[in-house]
Amino acid sequence: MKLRSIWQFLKDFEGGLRSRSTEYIEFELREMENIFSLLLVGSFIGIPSPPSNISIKLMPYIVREMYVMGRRAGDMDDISGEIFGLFAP
Amino acid sequence: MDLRTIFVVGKGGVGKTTCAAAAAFSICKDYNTLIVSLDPAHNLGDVFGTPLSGKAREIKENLWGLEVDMERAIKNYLEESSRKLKDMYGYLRAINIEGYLDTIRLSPGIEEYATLAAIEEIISEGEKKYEVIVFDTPPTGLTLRVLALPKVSLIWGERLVRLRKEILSKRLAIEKIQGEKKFVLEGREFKLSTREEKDEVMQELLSYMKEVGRVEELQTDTKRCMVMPVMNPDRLSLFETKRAFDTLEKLAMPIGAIVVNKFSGKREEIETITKAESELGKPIRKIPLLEREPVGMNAIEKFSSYLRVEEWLPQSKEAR
Amino acid sequence: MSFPTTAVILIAIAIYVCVYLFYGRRVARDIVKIDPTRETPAHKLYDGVDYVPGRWPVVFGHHFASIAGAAPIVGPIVALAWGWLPCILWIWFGNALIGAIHDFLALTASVRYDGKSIQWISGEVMSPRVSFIFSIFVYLAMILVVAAFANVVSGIFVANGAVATASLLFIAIALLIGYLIYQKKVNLVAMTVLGVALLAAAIVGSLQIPLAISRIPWLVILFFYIIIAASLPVTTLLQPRDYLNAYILWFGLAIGGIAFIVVAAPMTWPAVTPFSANTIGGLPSPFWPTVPLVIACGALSGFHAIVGSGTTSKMLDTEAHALRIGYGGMLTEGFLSTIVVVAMGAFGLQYMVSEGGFASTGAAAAAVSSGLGAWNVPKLAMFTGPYAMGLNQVFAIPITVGVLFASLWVCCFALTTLDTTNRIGRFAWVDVLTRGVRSEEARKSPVFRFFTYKWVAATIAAGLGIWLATSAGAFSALWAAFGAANQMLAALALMVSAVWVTNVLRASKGKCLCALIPAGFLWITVAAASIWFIAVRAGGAPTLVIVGIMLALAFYLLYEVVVALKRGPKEA
Repeated sequence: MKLRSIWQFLKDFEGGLRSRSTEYIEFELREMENIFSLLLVGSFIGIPSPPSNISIKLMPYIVREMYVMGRRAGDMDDISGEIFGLFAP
Repeated sequence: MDLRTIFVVGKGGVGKTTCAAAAAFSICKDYNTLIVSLDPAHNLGDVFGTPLSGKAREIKENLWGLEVDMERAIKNYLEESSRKLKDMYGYLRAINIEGYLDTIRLSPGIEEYATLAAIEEIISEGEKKYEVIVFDTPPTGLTLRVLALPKVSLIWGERLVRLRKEILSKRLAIEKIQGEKKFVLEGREFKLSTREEKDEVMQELLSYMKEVGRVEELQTDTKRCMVMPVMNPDRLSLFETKRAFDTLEKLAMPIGAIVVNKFSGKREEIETITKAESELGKPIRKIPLLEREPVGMNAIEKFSSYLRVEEWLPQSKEAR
Repeated sequence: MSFPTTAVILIAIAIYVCVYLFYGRRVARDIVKIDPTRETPAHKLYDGVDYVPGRWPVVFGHHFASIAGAAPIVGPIVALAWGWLPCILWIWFGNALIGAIHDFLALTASVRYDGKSIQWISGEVMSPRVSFIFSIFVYLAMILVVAAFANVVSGIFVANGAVATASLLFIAIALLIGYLIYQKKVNLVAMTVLGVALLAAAIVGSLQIPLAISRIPWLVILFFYIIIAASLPVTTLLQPRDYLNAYILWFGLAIGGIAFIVVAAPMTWPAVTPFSANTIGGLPSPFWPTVPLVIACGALSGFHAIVGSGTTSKMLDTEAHALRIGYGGMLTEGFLSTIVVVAMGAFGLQYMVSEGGFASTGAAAAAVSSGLGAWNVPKLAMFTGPYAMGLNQVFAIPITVGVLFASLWVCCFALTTLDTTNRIGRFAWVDVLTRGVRSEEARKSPVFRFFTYKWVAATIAAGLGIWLATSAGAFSALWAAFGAANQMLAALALMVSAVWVTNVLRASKGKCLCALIPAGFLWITVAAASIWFIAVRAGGAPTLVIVGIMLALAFYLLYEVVVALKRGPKEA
């Protein structure tokens, strides 16, 4: 039993290293999903956008992107904290 | 034989519908023709003296006519979109879909898109039945925006496709490393697509671009499409036509002769026409101002003799 | 006094464990009032993708890899001028009572504020001005990091050309592995193995082809490296190299730990030298208050608060894990610094004899004990050499390979840091300008737009850092300036945490002290050290200016803290 838990610990530790292997990419991905959503629905708030029929066509399929956009808008007040934390030496 | 389309454009009141009707009248002698009114203020039925509707009706032999019910088209479109959106988002409190639906109703571009969608549908249905389709268009402003829509859509489409590809690529890289993750919102799980073939967004974008690409191909093909601008012999009309001309050239749409309607021979009018010839560089067809409005089949027949459409109809030497 | 390395290491472990169990747990239970049932941000904001609770070893691995770097190695090397005993005591007790508490409090405060950063929290519990000052500190710290680390890297490259080759090869390897993993989506484990194997090959191969370039050209090359690397997409270079670095770290830590426990060599290095040994800039440096400026990351580091509150807090499954990750993580870093001290303690003198031309270890010991700092070897070699000697004794790894590995360890982290600090620096610069310039008119002006332009910000940040590295004084002085910035950030974070504990958690007077006293002590120490630094002109003029600015801001912050504490808990 003890051996199993040591093995599990090491596996988890590797998991921690693994999570670092995609940290920056995940940050970039969030930004891209945010932008994608903004591009599509931005016309509703005055940002230059594709013809609205494209937006409307795609809207049913971008739940995740719209959610990210909403969350990022809320995160904007701590964006420096997020960036400093992500890239800290 | 490939379908030929002619777009008759011009300001309200210049005699567009009459010219379109006349052009269709001459063309139908040789080709199976459909004339379509896209103008919300339909005059087409009145001009021919035959009531028209949303379904093609025979006006005379080889000539069919159709008036698109734009109101209904827009309404259907909005209802369909609303339904789809409600299906997806209705239960999500996090995303307030009612608000979006309201703004859709008012957002710019709905009319343009509905018109383009109508054009697409008519063309794809009409390919099987007709050889030439003549479109009587709405007032210039809206028409130009509609005609620009395919190109604009393609540009945006490409950008969105590129961004989407990157998003999918990054998601795939993360999935390969971290394993599949399901996005959870208010208890519902959503799979995050990582491959183009399974990504609905990508597929919608690509299929839309394909549809719209076909229109763009058609409208820039000198063999298959032509614009027939109609103007009156006054300076303001010339200015307006010149502006439309510039836009059409930017869209690479082929332009045939320019029709100058309601010509009464006055000297200023002749000057304007000469100017038009030199500035626009296209042949001019003058149509005299008639004592009575040309309404009814006989009047249209007479009118069409002035147009001499055969001279500049897109050539289609394939066997009939 | 002759202590075997084994004993030192075992004592370190014992002390850390005891402090964790008897002090850390008390703080967690009584002051922060850790509640295992309370929802952490990972649960509250759970979305299956970004906010996902992690098993604690995963979060620990992540957090530790984020906070460990090159600094816990470099600091102690310079500090050993004071003798190994005072240094190790600071690494043990400064870490346990101040540094680890600082990490822990920042982490828990962030968890209680839904994952917001310590900077955001400072705006909440103190005032928006403090949040603004945070960005200024971060920016100044980034400049100094670039200066100090560029110095470290160029110094190592000049002294040991093979390290330069290996570092360049490492960049190539990272580019390749990154391409394979992120673009071609090849299996991660396979690519990790490949990357590590290529790295090993690179280490061995580099010994044959050292690069011979002198310091200033290296600094210029580094300038361009920084600008280019920081402008690349993250998947190209940064992500893969950051990932591979973690394996180097763990490997180095593991074999180092084993080696120095097993080798049981006596610590021959003088235990204590004069109180004001010539540690910083060749000037007599009083152990208190200047030791934090030198040791920094091994005992206390402001960056940890930023990392902990920036990313780690969003991953915690339950508050109960905060202690082992925040507090325990920092203690583990202290352990890393302990190994460094032990390595030098056991083999430093021998290294000075073999490379520094001393006649005997006695002569070398005398040179060290005099406190004059004339060691005749580059400071950085004082880690890599002894470390390699230890590896050699226990694992029979050739010294040149050991030195190369240790140097590469330091350089890989330093080079990654140079990349990330530019990204932060760019952002902090624009952040400060945007927060500082409020009027719409001014924001539209071409001058403003110029200075907030990404490339301008990047060039300024890199340029200032490199310029400082070329001109502003001895390596140890620049290092101390970086240490000052780091410790000031830590003081700021700790003060914010202390205010949080007092005003928000409303801990009783007595309990608050365990946050207020370290915060106060730290502030006094750092302020005094900065005053000393300026007074003795330890560094070149630009460095003095920067330290001066930070000092002025530190006094302002003290005022803000006093105001906040006087104001007391806000009415709900």
